[in-house]
This record gives sequence, structure tokens and C-alpha cells, in this order.
Amino acid sequence: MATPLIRIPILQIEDFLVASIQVALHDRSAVQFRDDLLQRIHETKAKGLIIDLTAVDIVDSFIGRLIGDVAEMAALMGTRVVVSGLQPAVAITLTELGLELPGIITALNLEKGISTLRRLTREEEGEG
Amino acid sequence: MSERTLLVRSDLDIVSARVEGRDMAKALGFGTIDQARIATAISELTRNIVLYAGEGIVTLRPVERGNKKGIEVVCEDHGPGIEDVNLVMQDGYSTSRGLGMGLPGAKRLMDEFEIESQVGKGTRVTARKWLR
Amino acid sequence: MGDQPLAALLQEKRRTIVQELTRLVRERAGPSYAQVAEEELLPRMERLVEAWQRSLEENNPAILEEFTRRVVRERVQERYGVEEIQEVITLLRESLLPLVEARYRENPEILWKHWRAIEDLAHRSRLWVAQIYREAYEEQVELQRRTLSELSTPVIKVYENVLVLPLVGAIDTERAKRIMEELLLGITRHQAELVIIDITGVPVVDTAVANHLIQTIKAARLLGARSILVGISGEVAQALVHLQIDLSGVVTRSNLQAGIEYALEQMGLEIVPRISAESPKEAAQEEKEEAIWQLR
Repeated sequence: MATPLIRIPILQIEDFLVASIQVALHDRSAVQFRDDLLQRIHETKAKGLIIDLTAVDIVDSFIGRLIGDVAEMAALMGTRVVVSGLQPAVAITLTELGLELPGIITALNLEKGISTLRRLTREEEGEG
Repeated sequence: MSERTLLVRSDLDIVSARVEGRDMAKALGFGTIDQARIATAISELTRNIVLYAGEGIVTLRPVERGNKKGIEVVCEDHGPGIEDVNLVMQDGYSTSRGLGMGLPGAKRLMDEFEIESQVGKGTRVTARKWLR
Repeated sequence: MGDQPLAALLQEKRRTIVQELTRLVRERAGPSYAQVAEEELLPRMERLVEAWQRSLEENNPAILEEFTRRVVRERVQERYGVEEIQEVITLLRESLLPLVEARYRENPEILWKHWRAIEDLAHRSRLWVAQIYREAYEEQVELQRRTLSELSTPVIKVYENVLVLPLVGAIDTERAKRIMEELLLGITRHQAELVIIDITGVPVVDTAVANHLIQTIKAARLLGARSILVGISGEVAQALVHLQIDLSGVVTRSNLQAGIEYALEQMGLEIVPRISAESPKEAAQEEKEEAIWQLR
């Protein structure tokens, strides 16, 4: 029996990729999301990726770890990952679960996430 | 409000269980943060069922003790069972995606946590959270 | 437990019982009751007697228990003492016994039966009062504690993107959770990127408190806010080292001022004295003139 797989749209804005999760992701869709993200990063060689979680009200250890994995793998490909819009309730539960998401830059909302990425990539380019 | 029993055997059921849990918690008067704690704990526990027992049952019910009111979550399965419960409940214990990974996390999110397990027979986890 | 004849007697003698009871209660139940005007107390005693009557009529003590619950909760709010409320029951019993005695004097067995019914109901009532009073009192204390707790977790925006969380008093698990929630809501509301957590006013920092602080800081980071911890006294610093709490990765400063300066620095700002419009020569002239005025 085929399960409906949800595909999260991944948009490109300037040099960055933006993915906003608007629905509840079950495990298989989450895995698909991770694969889609890594695929797009590879294709576009994006400097940054913003995963926006403003509309997500429950994040458990599976999604938490998945996001951590995406950040690690993206870093290997030279892409910075910003997670934006984490709700207070989600931040608290993730902390209490013991998930820290190191290596991930966080921003309060999508707008701040984009300006953070811009600032970081400008700094990097300045150094180069 | 009556109890809800859900059959859990796929990742879709994990999402259903936690949404039902969140809704029941909200109806019982839990705040947003506690709703998230309860829903996340349910997600952890039901994922354990799906990954290691294949299928099981989760029951959500309102409970009272004295003048305390709260929610109770019971997860039962007839899976392989956990050999050393104490070991598995230790923080930081992990058999790289092995049995019982969601348990310490779920315990931290809830107020009361009991687990009975027998190898070859199955596992039952009972967790409760009380309104403050 | 039901007692129809007794209920009937209560109905028949209602007026006398209520009047007598009101008088006794105002005289002897206690200061709270002494202050209640007769016109106000009469209907209250009437309702009490009526509740007794209905319980006996319908053989259902729950009626009286419900009544007792409602009334006791009100009285707790009004700060009546528990002994005062129990005394009312004693006085009611005192009012009823002579009536029953007068009615059934000729028949000791029946008298004894009705006596037992009164004693039973009075005894239960006293227990209910004690229990409900304690529950209601504890609820009130809890409510006050919570209100106080909320009042004592203010999150203050001191500058664009900068919040200060001044903590005062002991922090238990409950309070720590509340603090974390308030802070995160504050970060969201004010779009803060820097948070200064001031623990100058926290008397005891043990492992539990330290861990709560660290969790709060981690959760704030998930919202994109960096934390600065200030107000760690020498004693607290020693305790933290002794407990082997790892605060590396947490920026600390000695006091609130230093914390604010650091925060502004992080945003590329600093506080400088205002420069006046005059030149140094004009300023010196003004000073001289002021000095001359003072001499005069």
C-alpha cells in the first residue's frame, strides 16, 4: 500500500535555498525531504540553506536528528544551514530531549534567517 | 472526555498519535509548552513501537489523583522486549539506533514514567503529566 | 442514614431552629461570625438547616457534602478559621438535641435513633469541613505562589534586540520551567538576539539551578538568541567550579552594566559621553564665569 509522500518545496532566493515546512512530516516524508535538500544543494552549490520551522509545533528526536544530519552533510558540501522560526514550545522540548543541534545557526524568523545568511556569506567572501 | 486507543504500526500512526495527544492535552487545559512536551513524548514512545515491535497500541486518557488532573499515556506492544530496562533508561545510552532510544527523552518530558518489559513478551510504558 | 421523622421535625421547627442557631453562632462561633449582621447570617443558617433536612429526607449525605463544599470554599476566601466553621456544626447539633429530646422523651429507643442520626451527620460534617478547608487553603496558597512566581519573572527589553532577565529569589524546578517559558516568549515577542540573565539576586546556585540555567540558555539559542550570564558572585563561582558545572560556551560578565556593555558591543554599538556644541575655549570660559558667580 503506497503511503502519500509529502514533498516539501525548496525555493531558491539569490544564492540561498529556502524550505519552509508547513505540514506535519511523518518519518518517510522527512527522509525524502532530507534527500531532496541534499540533492538541491549538490545541484545548485548554494551558499546557504534556510529551513523554516515557523509553522511546526511538534519536533521530536527523529526530525531533530534529521535536521542535525542535514546541517552536517551540507557543511561538507560548503553550505551553511540556518534553522529559523523554532517555536518556544519546540525549543524547550528539544532542549529537554537533550538534542542540541550543534553546528546549526538559528534565527528567530525567516527574515532574520536570510539577513544572517547574507551577513555570514559576505564575511566569508570578504575573507577570500 | 473519554479515552482514545490507537493502533500504531506505521510512521503515519506516529503523527496521528501525537496530534491526538496534543488535542487531548489542550482540551484538558495544558498550556502550549506542556502540550508540546506531551505530544513529543508520545511521538518518541510510539516511534519505539513502530521501529522495534512493528505494531502496538497507544491509549490516551484523562486521569485524576486527589485534586490533581492530568493525562495518561500507555504504550503497549508484543515486541521483543527490553532485556535491561535500567541500562536503557540511562541518559546517553545508545545502541546506535538500537532499542529504547526514545525512552529517556520521553521520561524527561513527562512527570511520571513507568516501564515494564519482558524479553520475548513485550513492553508496556505508562507516562503521566499533571496540570500545574 | 435517612431519617424522615427527623427531617419532618426540622421542617416543622425550621424557624425556631434557624433563629436560635443564628443567635448562638453570632455569640459563640468565633470573631468572623460575630461580625456578620443578623439579617445576613439568618438566611445562611436557613440554607444550612435546609441542607440537613434534604439530606435526611432523601437519605443522601452527598447533598450535605456538596453544600458544605460550596460554603467552606467561600469561607476560606473570606478568611474564616476552620474551628469557627466547625463550631457552627457543633452549635447546630446543640440546637437540635433538646428539640428531639422534647419530642421523643417518652420513647427512649426512638430518641436514641434520632440522636444517632444527628450525631452521625454532625460528625461527618466536621470531617468534611476540615478536609475541604485544607484543600481549599492549599489551593489558595498554590495560586498565590504561582502569581508571585509570574510576577517575579519579568523580561525587560533594555534596547533594540536586547533583553534582560533579572532573577531574584530561590529557583526550584517549577519556577525554572516558568522562567524558561517566559524568556522564550519574550525573545519571540521582542525579536531579541541578545539576552542578559542576571542572577545577582539568586541566593543558592546548586547543580539543579545551574542545569536549569544551562537548559534555558540552550533553548534560547534555538531561537537565535545569545545569552550573557551576569551576577555570578565569588561564592557562586566557587560552587560552580566545585560542582564541575561546565559553563564554557556561556559568555559571563561580572554585573549587569558589564553585560549590557558587552551586548551593545556585539551589536556594534557603544555608550559614549555626549559632545557639547561649543569649542574647548568657550567651555573653559563658561567654567570661569560659573566660578565667579559662586564666589559672589
